[in-house]
Amino acid sequence: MLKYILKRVAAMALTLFIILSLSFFAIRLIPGDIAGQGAAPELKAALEARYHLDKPLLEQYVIFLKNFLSFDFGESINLYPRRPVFQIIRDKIPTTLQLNIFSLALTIPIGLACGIAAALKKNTWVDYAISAMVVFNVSIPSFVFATVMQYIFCYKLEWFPFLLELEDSSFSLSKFWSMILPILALSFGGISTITRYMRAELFEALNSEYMLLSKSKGLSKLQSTLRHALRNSFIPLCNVIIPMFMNLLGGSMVVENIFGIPGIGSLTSASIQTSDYYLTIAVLFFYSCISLTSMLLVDLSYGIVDPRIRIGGGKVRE
Amino acid sequence: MKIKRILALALACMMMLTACGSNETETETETNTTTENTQTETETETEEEEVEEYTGPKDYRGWTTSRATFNPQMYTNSKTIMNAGTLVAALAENDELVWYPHHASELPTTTDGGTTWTVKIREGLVWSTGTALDATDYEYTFKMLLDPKLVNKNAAYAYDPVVIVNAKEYSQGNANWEDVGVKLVNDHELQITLQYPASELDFYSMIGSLIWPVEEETYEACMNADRTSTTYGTTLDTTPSSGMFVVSEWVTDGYEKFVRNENDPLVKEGWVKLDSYTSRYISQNATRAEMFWAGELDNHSLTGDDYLQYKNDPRAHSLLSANVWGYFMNGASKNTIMQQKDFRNALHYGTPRETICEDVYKLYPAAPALISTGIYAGDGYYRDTEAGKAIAEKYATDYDKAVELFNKAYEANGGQPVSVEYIYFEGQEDQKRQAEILQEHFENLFGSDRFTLTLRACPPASAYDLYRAGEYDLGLGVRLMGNVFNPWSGLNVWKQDYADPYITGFASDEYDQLWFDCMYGDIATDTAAKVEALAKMEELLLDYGCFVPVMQNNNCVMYHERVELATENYLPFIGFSTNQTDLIAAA
Amino acid sequence: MERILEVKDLHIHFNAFAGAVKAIRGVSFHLNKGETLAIVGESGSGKSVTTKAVTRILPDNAVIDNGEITYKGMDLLAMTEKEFNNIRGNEIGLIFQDPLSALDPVMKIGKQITETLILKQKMPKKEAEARALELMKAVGIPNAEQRFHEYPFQFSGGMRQRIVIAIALASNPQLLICDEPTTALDVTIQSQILELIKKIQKERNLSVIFITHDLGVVANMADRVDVMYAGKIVEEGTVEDIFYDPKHPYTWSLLASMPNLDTKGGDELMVIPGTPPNMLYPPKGDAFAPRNHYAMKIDFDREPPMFKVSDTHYAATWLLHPDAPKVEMPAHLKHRIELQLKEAEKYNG
Repeated sequence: MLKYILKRVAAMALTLFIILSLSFFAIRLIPGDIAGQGAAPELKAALEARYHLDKPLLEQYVIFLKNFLSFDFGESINLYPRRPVFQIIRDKIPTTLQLNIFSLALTIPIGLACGIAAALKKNTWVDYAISAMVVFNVSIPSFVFATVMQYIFCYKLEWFPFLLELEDSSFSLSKFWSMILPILALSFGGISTITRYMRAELFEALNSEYMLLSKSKGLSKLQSTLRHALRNSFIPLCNVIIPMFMNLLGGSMVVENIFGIPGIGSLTSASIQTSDYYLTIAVLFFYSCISLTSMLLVDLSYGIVDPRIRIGGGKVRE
Repeated sequence: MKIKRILALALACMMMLTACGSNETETETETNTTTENTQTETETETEEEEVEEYTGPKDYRGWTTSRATFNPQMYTNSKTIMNAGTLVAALAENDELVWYPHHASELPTTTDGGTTWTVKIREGLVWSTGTALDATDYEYTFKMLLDPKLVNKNAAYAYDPVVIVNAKEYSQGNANWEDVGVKLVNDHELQITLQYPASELDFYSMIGSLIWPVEEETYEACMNADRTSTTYGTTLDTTPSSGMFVVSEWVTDGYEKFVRNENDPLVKEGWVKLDSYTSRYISQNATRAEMFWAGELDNHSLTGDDYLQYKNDPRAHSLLSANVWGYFMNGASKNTIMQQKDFRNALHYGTPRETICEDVYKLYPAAPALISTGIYAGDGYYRDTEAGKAIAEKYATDYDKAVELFNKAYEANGGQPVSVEYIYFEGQEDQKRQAEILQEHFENLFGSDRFTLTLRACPPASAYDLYRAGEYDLGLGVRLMGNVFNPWSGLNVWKQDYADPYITGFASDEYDQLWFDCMYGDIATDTAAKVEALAKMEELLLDYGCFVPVMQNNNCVMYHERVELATENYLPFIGFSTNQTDLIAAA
Repeated sequence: MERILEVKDLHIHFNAFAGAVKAIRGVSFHLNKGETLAIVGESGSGKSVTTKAVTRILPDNAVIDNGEITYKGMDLLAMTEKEFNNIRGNEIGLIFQDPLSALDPVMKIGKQITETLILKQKMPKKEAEARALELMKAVGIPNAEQRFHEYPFQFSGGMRQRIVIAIALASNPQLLICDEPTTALDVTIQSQILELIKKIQKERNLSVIFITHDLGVVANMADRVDVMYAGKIVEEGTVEDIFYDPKHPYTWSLLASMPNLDTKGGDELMVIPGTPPNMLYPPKGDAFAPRNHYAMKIDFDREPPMFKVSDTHYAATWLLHPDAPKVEMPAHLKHRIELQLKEAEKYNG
């Protein structure tokens, strides 16, 4: 297992390096002027010199790699001038994280419950209702949800505040109240995913022969479902749930914009639009790390959760 | 099963509907692009009766799009730095703009016609950190502003348009600090020497208003090892205040709160009524609209449709934009018809600017000339002067003239059907509609058998790159006029030696000479002559045909009933003077 | 002999997408205490469905139209699910065809055995574990203590089937239903499992219903045999009745199509032409008629009733009608049976 992990980490490092290099060159292709429109030409020249943009591309690349490997991620050029990139990302993560953790705490239980209900009551109205909800959630973009919810619940009904409460850094009830709508908006997509997966897996599990055996042993339907079907159907769910955990750090641009949440979500597009090279690369790198780590964890999870893989490479004895 | 099919159909319809609907909500943005920030201006409300004086807390609830930094040497949106004071302050008094000394103890004076200026600093000024604020702070500020290694965005404020001796050279590493025209006479007096004489208005509005001091201790503490960067103003802790307000809370991309600074001299003189001013960062217009109409925001920028509904509401106040939007014409294009001056002029006269403004923008007025109505020249708005009016009249929309000129150009080009390409910004619904109106109108006016207009959408950055490269025929855009008091400086973009031009083929020695005379030459302090020169410059540009003006983006702001603005009319430079706003009721 | 299980006139159909599939069209049989009944037939003849009906583990789209199933005097079909739960496992045990899919892949086999004990009989854990180990040893799993904590995939096919048997036996059932338990195993293992089942039956005095399509297994295991075709029982009798004196043409074909030691390489095997009928539209008369070499006109019109051959032997074929022409079983089958009888005499003799 350890050898496997080390191999994978090495592969990850290589992948990240390739991503980094590709991003570096790709970003230079984006049209845009770091000095902004109408800036004095001397300023433009000085800025370009400062950020090494006047040097040949390969030389820039070498400088960039050197800095990156010594953990100098540069500073933001336009978006948050002179602020170290690392600090920008680091400061935005807690807000996004807090919101996403709550969202996940909502998504997983509800998604599982809906999926189980739909599978147990397949082809009844419960199943149809849940499936309709899933299609609904998946088809309608999150910004439509968020905007509509804000319009109805904040403007028309005045039940919730429009924006996330930022005044107090400590956690209070009113702050939580203001988090409810964004949490809901973030959850819908995840709930649908988990429901679909769970429903499919559980349905397959319910129809397997070990369920028949279990029944023939004399276990009640509830006992069989709980003890056998559910355990079997949870295993493939790691595939879906672990990436969701990793996406805690990701943030949704749209929902954050609508509810005024100062999180990571809008960082990517904002940094690309303002030609903020260092910030863009750092953000892309950050997201790549998250993705690759989540993939690694998913693969490892199978090894841990599924005994067939954990033990199985081993001997099958007579 | 039937039910399943009906369900599937219903869901498919719903999906299509949301796809259409969401497209519209996504692309409906204000035409306020990139750098133009809607001002959170305030205005007096004409209340006839004097109700009982409101004595409750006066906390203004504003909004803005995010703030990048509080470092005044890096931040480009000059007017919303409420927590930093300057040498002089522009204030609204009796609905007029007046200059008051802020950190200066008296308005700066000059004895040699505007070249050497004496600036005296008040006694007893303090930073919010407790350290004293005096002339040494200003000297330090200039030195850091122009530091060649720091490369501050706003360094040009010290040498463009008002040129401090050797400031530019120092910032490029070609001079020593001792050579720069900023001298510390004593702890409370500075002497500033200019390369060219400047008028009082220019000096007050530039050096006097755009050089915000930085606090030395914090600035140094935030400096990195090789002195190429400082994190001054990037977080709340590194942002000392010296103005009429102190920044008391700041969550990056969240909100910022300013609290009245009782130690400020102007506050002590009673100019500030608000207790605090909070700006929440809200990027979605829909959210802002909902919050305003729910009574949670004190001001809101109206969209075109809202404007039609509310333009006569006493709470609505129009701003005066310094810029005129239109489209560039490339007289050096490979497309031969573009090289015909008559054709370009035809496009100018033929552009249906009034129709466009009515149908598309609704709240923006049409502009026949290049200088907006918000530009001040000397002692009045330029467009109100005789010279200004004459230009506007001469170049007013005239379809007959357009056709006449087109016919001439058409024949001169060989009598062959012509086609030109018009570029506009991707993702802007208003610009798209404008493009379509232009297309339909011109093809009707000139005859679609002779003329076709092809449309092309580009991201703004790409569009401007195309203009720089000269690879376009017609292209929507604007050259921003940074300074309402000094339009001549903003017109440097049309000079032959301007370093970042958009290719239009315009090249005029006469123009360049006029420009220099107005900026730094004999008539630099002669207002009347400068106004005449300005008109001439405008005429040269319109005559050549390098830019067709279409509209002026005068936004309209709606204020909550409880807001009492400091001035009835929109004043140049300070707008409705946010700092002086008053609130006459509870939230 | 006491009858422990009695099935009377069972009719079952499945609600499939295309319509109603009539799987069981009037099946009646009985099982005596302590004996092994083999139910033989082609795939799709309804063998598994019958036994699944007995243990009430039919899928949700199965409908029992008619019929009575009596176990030890209790009417099984009339019971509620809750009541029946006590019957399953405790009274009736079921052994499945494919042990790999029958076992929960992610649960240790020890736990799978002790599950019923702990849940149903409320046995304390230690006791249940001891009992499970006992069972494992009884079914012949070596190293029981160690293998108690292993997962199904760590066992070979034969071992897994033993585990399934152990699970079935855990609650001491009286009736054991084996649904083709050796089909998925290779021949050597097959004989081991069969020996095991026989051993267990003798030790515990179980009644066994053995479903198979393999006549060799039937010869090995059964006391009595029921032959099923297209949802009906076409012949029933003792194992000697069926093998030495079959009366139904279908049984003749089954026996004749089996190769034996005398079959030489190069000999053509006898096959039954055609395929079983589509049970969406079951035929009017005898379902076997289209494939029946000996079919008479009446076979296509009316279903034959069960004709008595002896007290133990019944066959549902019009050939046994007193008015029917005398038809003998195919010659080479007769020949074969004679040879076998001689062998048996020699053996027993």
